[in-house]
Amino acid sequence: MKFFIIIGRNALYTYERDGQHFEPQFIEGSELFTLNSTNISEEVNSYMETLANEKNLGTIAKLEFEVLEGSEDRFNAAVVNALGEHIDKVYSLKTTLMTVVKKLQRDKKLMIDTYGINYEGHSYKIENNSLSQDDFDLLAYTIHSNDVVSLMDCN
Amino acid sequence: METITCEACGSQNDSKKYFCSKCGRFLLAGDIAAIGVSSEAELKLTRIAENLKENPHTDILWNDTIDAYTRKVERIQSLLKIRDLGIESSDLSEKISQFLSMCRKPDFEIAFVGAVKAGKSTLINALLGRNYASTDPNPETAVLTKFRSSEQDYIKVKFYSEKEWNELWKSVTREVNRIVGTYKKINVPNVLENYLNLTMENFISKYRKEDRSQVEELYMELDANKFLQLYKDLDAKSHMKEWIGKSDLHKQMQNSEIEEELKIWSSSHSAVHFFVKEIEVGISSLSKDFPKQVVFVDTPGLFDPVAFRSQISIDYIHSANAVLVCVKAEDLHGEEVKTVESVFSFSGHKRNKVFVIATNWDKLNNVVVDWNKRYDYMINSFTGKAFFPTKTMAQSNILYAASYHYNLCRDYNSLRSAQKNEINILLMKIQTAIEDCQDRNVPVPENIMALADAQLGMLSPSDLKRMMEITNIQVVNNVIVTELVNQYAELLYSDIKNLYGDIQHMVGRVAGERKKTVNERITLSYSDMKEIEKKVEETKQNRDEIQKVQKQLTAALASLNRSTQQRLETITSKLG
Repeated sequence: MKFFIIIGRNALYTYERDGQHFEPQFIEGSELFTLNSTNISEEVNSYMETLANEKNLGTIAKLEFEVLEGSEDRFNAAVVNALGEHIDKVYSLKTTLMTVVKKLQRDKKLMIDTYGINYEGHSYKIENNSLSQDDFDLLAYTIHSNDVVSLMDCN
Repeated sequence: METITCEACGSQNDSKKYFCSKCGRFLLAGDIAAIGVSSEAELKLTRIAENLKENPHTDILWNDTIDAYTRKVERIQSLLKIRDLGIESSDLSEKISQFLSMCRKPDFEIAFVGAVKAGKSTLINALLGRNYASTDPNPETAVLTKFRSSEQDYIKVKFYSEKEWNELWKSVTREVNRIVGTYKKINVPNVLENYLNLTMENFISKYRKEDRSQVEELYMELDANKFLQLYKDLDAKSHMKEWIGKSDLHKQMQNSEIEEELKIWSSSHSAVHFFVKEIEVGISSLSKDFPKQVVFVDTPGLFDPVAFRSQISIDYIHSANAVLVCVKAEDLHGEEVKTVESVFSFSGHKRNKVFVIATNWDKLNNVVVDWNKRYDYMINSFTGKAFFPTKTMAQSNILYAASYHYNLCRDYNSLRSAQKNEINILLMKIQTAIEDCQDRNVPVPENIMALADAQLGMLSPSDLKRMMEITNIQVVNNVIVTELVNQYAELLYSDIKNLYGDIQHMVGRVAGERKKTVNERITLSYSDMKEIEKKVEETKQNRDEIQKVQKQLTAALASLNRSTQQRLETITSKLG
């Protein structure tokens, strides 16, 4: 069974994907599965076991994931490493957000060109056709994982 | 009280509030359209209000109140980043960063400060129960080193970033140019390059004949000389690319390997130490009572020849929760008094958490009489406006220590005979001092008196225990444990609360000033030309007045500096 994971700040958001439609999954009643950054490998295993259990798969062997990276390289590497052979595809955050920002820019009222967007504690703006990352900005337009999945381009 | 209803959740709020106390919604959203602000201003205001709820927060797990404080301060930090608000306060930003790092990493830092060779590392070794920090006579600790309790022994090395290294090098260049650069040079395009690449004779020959003797004198006296000479001798330049900007190095090791590893990174005799900004040592063998959050910080000194490195120590004193200033008991000179004075000036409201430790007590001729004199003198000198506020505080916060002999006694069974002999020499000195005191009818403390009949030569375990007792390390340790370590959570909490109070006060002031300026501009925008001209004239007068007061303050400061210098010289001359 295939799932789409978004790596957030010390947490994972899980979706079930049907083409361009993403359905948020609640694991243990919550939309996000929190990870303790000191023992990511163990926690990712526990995440997979819980997910397999909740979906009545019997074993984690049947799990397959598409992953959207987060902003912390070390955290991404640790999660991807822990998911190991269950990974089908990894989407880069910068490329994805570039698409998202460009789509949002079409609505001029949001003033995305001027203030950019906030996502998972950082602000992002397109400057000279490349995406720059900065601290969270109170004037930027804030988006969440649900907005990202609805705006990103998936193959 | 007038109230306003939140459109989002319906709760009642004080009309003076801008945000709903229940849901955080901007309460004046409805008024924005009514007062006709532009759509961009409306977007900004509503976005700020919405985003404040989303502002990233690092959970503070150790205390709920501090967690709430942090959330507020993080929001203030985000607000300050909005350029359009026109609020710039580097003091406030610095305070906020200090506050957040204190909350997120709640270490209780005890800084050990003192002049070069004042015995900081030896004292730290005595308190940690093993010789971790290098105490070789020549290579003194040249890097800020932190010691803390840990389940696993490790060393973590932080290197200067390229930006920091450039800053450090600039401060060296400034120092060289300030001194030798004032003389007219003959064909010298870059003083520092010449200074580094030429011998002293060749360097001096670049100056006019009539200036050469003065330049030679300055060359010898130059504070940065030692740094540059060592940099040249160790060929540090060839190692620079290897270490500058390198990410932190984390090495796990056996407890017995720490000393040697530490030498590699911190000793002034290794080329790499030039590029190390900070070292953290985790020790597994410390007592279980030693909380993990308590950190001993061995600082390289306040008067480092390189101003940038001194600034690192100064910054630590500013943020340290307590400071132990080490001064040499046998030779209390100008630099040491200056160190104590500087520590007090950097410690602000934490004077009760400053302790003056007179090291090298064992080097005094008569450990009873001479110490009594030194102790009285230190109490008198270090009580007053710039030091301990009361004599009682000075009495309890000035202590002596004989760390070197304590460490020898602790490691007695593994000592060479020459080192064992050093303990005997101290014992002999103590016994002579006892006799001398008895001849002069000077009372001798009980613990020292107990050594009157100790046998020279092979010391019995009980004599060894008494010797360790008179080194006073246990007393210093008890003070640290009872006054600081055991109360660290409470003290840390109170430091954080004080800092939060400072931030609140500063925010109030900055916001008040900004509000006043904006209101004045609004009023002015409705005024006619004459009123505007009048206002411009008033502003000019105010500026002139400020400049006048500024001049007066500068003069007062200079006079204060002069009188402080005079006081320092008086103290130094009396000590000399």
